Amino acid sequence: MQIAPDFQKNSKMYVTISTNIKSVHFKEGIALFNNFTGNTHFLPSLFNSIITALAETSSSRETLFALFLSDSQKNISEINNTKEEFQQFITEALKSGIISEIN
Amino acid sequence: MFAQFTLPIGPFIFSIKTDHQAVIDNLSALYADYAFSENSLFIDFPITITTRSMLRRFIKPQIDFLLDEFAPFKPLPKDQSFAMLEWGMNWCITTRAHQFLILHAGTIEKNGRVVIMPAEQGSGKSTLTAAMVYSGWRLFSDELALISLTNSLVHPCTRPINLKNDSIEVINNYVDNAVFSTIAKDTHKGTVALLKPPKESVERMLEAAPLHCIVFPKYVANAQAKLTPVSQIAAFQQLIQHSFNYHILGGEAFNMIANLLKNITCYQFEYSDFEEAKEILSSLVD
Repeated sequence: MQIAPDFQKNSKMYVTISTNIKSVHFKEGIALFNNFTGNTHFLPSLFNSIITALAETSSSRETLFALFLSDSQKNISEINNTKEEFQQFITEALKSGIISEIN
Repeated sequence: MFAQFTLPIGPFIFSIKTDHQAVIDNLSALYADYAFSENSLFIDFPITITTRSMLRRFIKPQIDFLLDEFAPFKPLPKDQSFAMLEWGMNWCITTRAHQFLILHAGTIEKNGRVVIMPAEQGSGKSTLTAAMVYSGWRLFSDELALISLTNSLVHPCTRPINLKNDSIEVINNYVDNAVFSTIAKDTHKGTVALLKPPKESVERMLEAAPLHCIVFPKYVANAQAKLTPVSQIAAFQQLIQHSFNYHILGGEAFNMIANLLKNITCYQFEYSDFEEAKEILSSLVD
């Protein structure tokens, strides 16, 4: 199954959590603090596994999406919505400096 | 002629110099249980309450608040002098005491357990604090929670309780022999009076204690007192909102709040009746 064809163009890019980010996991979600900007962000627990995985090692978007998909337990008919949600997270997390892309 | 008071309050030492009789009278009445010292080598906040403009001594009299000869605020009408001193003292602490995470919160203690009650202005935080500290709880502050960055203990900042509008009459009826400051009318907060803190709280104002739980209080007319648990993430967001210096402390404050929230429970608290409130809050620490 090809779950993320849009990610092909970025296949050589990996995503990593920025070194200036502190994260704390709670039952209901994650709190993130950006040491550079001083901003605090809160994410729902839906993104727990992505942040945990990124804290360990950099990953491709495909890997992260697969992780997100399995965690969100959505069925195949909802895949487009889930992808949109994932893409939005990646875009906003890049913009806020929580994650960055590396080759 | 100036009178000078050197006033130790919790971890701080204030020096208050004033030539206004109303300030002297209110200080003498409301801080009667404090250990005034003649002088101290280490003054944290040297404050002067006076009128700088000669004209304003006589025409529509005004007063100025000065910290170390600097006037951070515009002058206020003379009959607000004591309220201005108290507001200014809050300002001194919240803008300088960054050895603490400072929350806008009523803070009370019983059985060695501190309950912090962060809330917006007008939520009944000071009124609830006043009722509790005259019902067996120890007053840390009606306005500021000081959480040490070094050991996470909550430090008392025991001072008169700032009551506004209807709360003044409510507490006057609830507390036997309550001692109030002169009433300041038409302030930016409405009618304001300060309530003398309980003597026992003043005598123990150097005793810090660990945080036990956080309660976000809200006065709701005719509501039955009710505690509702708040999620850690929601509590985190509210604590940032109620913090005076989170943005200054940055990562240190983030770590502190995260660690605190892992060990305590947070509640939303609706109340209208002091007796019910007393029972429920006591059940948290007994």
